[in-house]
Amino acid sequence: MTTLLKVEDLSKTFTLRSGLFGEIMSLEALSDINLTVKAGETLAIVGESGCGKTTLGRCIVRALEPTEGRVTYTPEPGRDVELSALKKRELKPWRRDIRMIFQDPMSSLNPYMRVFDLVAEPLRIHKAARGAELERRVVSTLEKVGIPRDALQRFPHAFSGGQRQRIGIARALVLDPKLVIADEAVSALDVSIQAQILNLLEDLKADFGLTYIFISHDLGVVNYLADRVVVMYLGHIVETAPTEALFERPRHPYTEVLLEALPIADPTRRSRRHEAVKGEIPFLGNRPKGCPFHTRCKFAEDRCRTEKPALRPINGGETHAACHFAETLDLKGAYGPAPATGTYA
Amino acid sequence: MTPLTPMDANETLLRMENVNIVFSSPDEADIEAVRQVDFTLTRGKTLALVGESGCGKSVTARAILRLLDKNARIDHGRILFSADGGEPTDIAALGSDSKAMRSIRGNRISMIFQEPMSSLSPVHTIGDQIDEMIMLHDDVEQKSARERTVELLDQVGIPGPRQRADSYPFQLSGGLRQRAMIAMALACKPDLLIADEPTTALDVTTQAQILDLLRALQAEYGMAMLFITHDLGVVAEIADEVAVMYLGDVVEQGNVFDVFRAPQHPYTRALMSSIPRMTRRAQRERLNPIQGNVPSPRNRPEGCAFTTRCPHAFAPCSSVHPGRTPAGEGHWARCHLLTHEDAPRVEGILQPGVPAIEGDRA
Repeated sequence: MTTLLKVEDLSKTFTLRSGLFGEIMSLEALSDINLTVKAGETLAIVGESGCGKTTLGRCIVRALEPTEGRVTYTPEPGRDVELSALKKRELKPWRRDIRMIFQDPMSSLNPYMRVFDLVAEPLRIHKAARGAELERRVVSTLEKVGIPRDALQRFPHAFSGGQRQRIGIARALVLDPKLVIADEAVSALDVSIQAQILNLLEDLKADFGLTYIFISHDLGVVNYLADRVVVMYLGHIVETAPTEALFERPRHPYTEVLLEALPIADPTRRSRRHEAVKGEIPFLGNRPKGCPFHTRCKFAEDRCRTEKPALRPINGGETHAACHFAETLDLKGAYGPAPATGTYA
Repeated sequence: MTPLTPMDANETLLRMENVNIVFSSPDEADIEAVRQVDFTLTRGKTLALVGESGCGKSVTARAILRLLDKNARIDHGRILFSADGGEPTDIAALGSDSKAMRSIRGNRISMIFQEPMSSLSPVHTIGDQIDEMIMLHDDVEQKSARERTVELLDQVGIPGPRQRADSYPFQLSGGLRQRAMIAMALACKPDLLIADEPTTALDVTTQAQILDLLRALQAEYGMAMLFITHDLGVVAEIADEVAVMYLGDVVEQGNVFDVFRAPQHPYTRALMSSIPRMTRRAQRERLNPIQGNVPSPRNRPEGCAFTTRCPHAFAPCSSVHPGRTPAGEGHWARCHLLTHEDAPRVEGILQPGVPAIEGDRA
């Protein structure tokens, strides 16, 4: 598969001032992020609140300006566009190719605009279509996401959460994008609606030949949807691997912790969990020295407290992990015994 | 703190009988938000009430504490609560602000909520708030109340409890706030703890910690727990029994292992096929979501509430409200498929004239 997007050495630092004359504090929300997105895949970015997954998504589309690093987009083989170096004006054409879907469809849709205008807006801004052509594209996009034709003149408040999310998806798709960044796109929805939207995202990906960056905290959904997974903790990538490899045998202790904490809808597998991880995620402002996870890691040794592990390939495979002991630790995955049995219903 | 004396594990603590809750408004017809809810809470056991938004699970829980809004009332039914093994009290018949009710609420039955930030006072320290709770119900001095508070905070796993008692809620992380809230709920050693989506706003590792904590506290205090959630994963982790609600009806109830192994109501089955399974690629199955949306309670079908979205609906479903049909030991569902000879055949559902799977039908 060809590379569609490449992120190199990306860092993002926020500065905060406490009070009018207070001292300035800098928070490194992302440090040295490196990843590639291949055309046609679904890459999931997972982690808990504050790990930097949303910031990363926003830095890619430059809704936030990265402090350092490069984001390179490859619209066609042999043509590399360094998004992070472009001026805002030069960036505009590429914004048609890279679109976002947000978590809360209530706050991401303008309540004073009708559905038709909400979906037509991106076309108008990018002068991509007008008149009958615009109308045709809006109607056909809404049809594809399952919004009926007679709803075009309604306002967002007249729709349920699931339908609003469909409108949000239509806004992203109407410009015929190549890459869609979905930030917790199904997290606010009830399970039955969530399943509808997940199926829709899957169908749209096949129909439009899309590539997804799927930002989520829900590992169950990620296992279902993603081809590869990036696990983040405190602004770092701690592990990246093909989905099945990651869930079968994680290589970073934090990944194991996440998988172990995940509630699985099968009471017969209740006993798999020994004990929840201790402690809380440290405050970004005083990130531990050495490995960012060492304060909560049950395998931590002296080396982890002083030396920060680099993200490196494990056993020459596709899996990369940032742990000094990634090869030797015997970590537990989330799947049942192979071949998986015990599915009920 | 000394744990309560061990109780008989099978002792019934609270029984909901045929409770329905009606919302009224001056210019519209009444809406029946919850109808014919029955369930039993047992000491030391957890019942999970599961369903999607608007199904009536929180309203049901609030009715137990008589914390319903002014425009809502318990229309009929009884909520029988027997704290000390004596004559049960019918909570539904008490005045919501009566002395009897106030001696139950927060004392014998307490509740924790999804968002601790909005249910703790932002201008009082957590220590003061828990002290107040203890003094209100136990008639002790502030000083000994504070000792209890520190003990409680320690027990729920808040590090440095004596210092942390002087923190305001905003100074604590989400996980610690939820722990403080649990400490407050446990201050009077309640017989019943109602937990309304207590982990929904938390990260998954924090959620695991809080679930472990609740389990440990339940083992120690022997309290019953009513756990409200929309997450089937959490149900599988914590519940002994599960009741599935849809649009104001409890459509299925039973032991958590039975309900997950052989769900009998089409809605329960649909919910379970809506969540992605933790399986390898080779076993991956496309999700099979329920079509359409939950109708508003105003348009609820006369018969089974799920009729409009049920893939197996047949003649009686839209007009006749199905009764409770046993599907095993302590396991029942409200579905006509289970009782009608001429119902369409559905694999996995115990139907008349279909040989039962071994061990399924008691």
